[in-house]
Amino acid sequence: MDGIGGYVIGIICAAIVCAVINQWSEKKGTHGAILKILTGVFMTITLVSPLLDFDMTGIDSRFSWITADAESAVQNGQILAKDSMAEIIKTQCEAYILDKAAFWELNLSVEVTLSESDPPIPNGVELTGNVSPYAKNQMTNWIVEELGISKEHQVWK
Amino acid sequence: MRKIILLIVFVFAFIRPVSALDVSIPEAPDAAEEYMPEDTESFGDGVWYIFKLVIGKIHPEIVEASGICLSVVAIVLICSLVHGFSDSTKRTTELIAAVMIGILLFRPSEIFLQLGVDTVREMTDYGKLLLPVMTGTMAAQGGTTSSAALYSGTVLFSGLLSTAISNILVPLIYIYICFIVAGSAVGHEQLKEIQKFIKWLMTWILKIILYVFTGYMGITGIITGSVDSAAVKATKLTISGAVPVIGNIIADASETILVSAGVVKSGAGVYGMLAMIAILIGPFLQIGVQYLLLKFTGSVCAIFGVKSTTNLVKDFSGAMGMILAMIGTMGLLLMVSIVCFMKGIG
Repeated sequence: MDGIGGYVIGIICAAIVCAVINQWSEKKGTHGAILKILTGVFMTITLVSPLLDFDMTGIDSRFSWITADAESAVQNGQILAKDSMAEIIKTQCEAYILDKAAFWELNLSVEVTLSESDPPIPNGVELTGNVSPYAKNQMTNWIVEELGISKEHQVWK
Repeated sequence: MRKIILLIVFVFAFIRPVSALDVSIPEAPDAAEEYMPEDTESFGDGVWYIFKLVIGKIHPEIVEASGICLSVVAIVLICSLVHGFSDSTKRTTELIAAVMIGILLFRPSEIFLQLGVDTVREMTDYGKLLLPVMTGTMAAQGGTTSSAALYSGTVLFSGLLSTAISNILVPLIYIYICFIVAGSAVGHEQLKEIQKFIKWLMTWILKIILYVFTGYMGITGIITGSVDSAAVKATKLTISGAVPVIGNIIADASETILVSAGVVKSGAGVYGMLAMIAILIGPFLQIGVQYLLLKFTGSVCAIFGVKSTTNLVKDFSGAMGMILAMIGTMGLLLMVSIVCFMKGIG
């Protein structure tokens, strides 16, 4: 807003100068007509001078800044969705295993780990509990079959 | 019975709330707080609440604006009386009346102009907080291309409009006011032509930005929407092709995320629109009341007033109209953007 005052004063001064010249040149014939055109041009330049001074150099960086910002916002959303999805998959897989363990009357605690892929897939499981070798074998095979987690990635504690 | 109670306790102990997406919606700025409804779930109810609140607060604005308009009517009346008594002082009377009306109306115009600029800045600032949330939730819903395009478009055009308002339109309104007062005082036709040109230029700038923005949003929405829709379908196909149990779990999780993102996005969108209205409504009301009363005053003055002074009053109402258009365009631009985000993909 600081520049506005100067701009308005500039226009008022230009208008006064133009008015005085026009008044003076009214009875000057051809010269008067030329002076009138020149004052018109001068007044137009004064009016549009802020547009001529408009700095165009920063526009490029501004565009790239907006694009980068958009990408960052999209990435945040995707990360949020992926994290939330991983949380749901992990919880559901653990609940699925615990449900089967309860069916076989096994007292277990389960911790499923997921891959970094999109969508995340269970790639490991840690089972803790006092379980007989037969039940352990039964459970291991069931996890391989149902959840696709290989025996090597199943850790029993 | 004991087993049933234990089972219920067990079930409740293991129930986990499925709040799939943890997103916080930016709160409305302090200035808008007084108009914000407590329940922001329903857009219609929210708008109705704001409208009722605004109607209740309109009286002081009318009283204040009426005082200014009555003073203007008094000046025009005195000018007309003096005009009628003596032909020799006609030009001088018109000049004095123009200066007096100019002095009387310049201060409120300056205040309203500053109010308009502040409102535009506040809306832009709130938009900067809200848009990343809308973009993020839309991306979580699968609209990665659409959300990036909508975000870029909105930030670009709102920035452009904001810059145009502070660097071009505000100075032009000041110049317009100078020209209408000078034109009325001196009675030069050239000044009136420049004044008309300035008004046309201001209207044109606002219209062009809004038209191009609306066109961009419409075209981008159609093109990027179909791309995202195809991508979501492809992902669903991939998931259904996975191991049966895991495939079902992933499909369920994916569906939960899509639904949650949609719910959060709609909630953020409705809250955001209500916040925008709450930011906009106070200043819009103040300037709008002054604009309407000046229009009315102009019509009243036309009955008994001198033509040049009557036109001056009408032109001042035109300046108020430009400030209203400035705020309204920014509000509309951001609202259209929020609606486009809420519409989603496909």
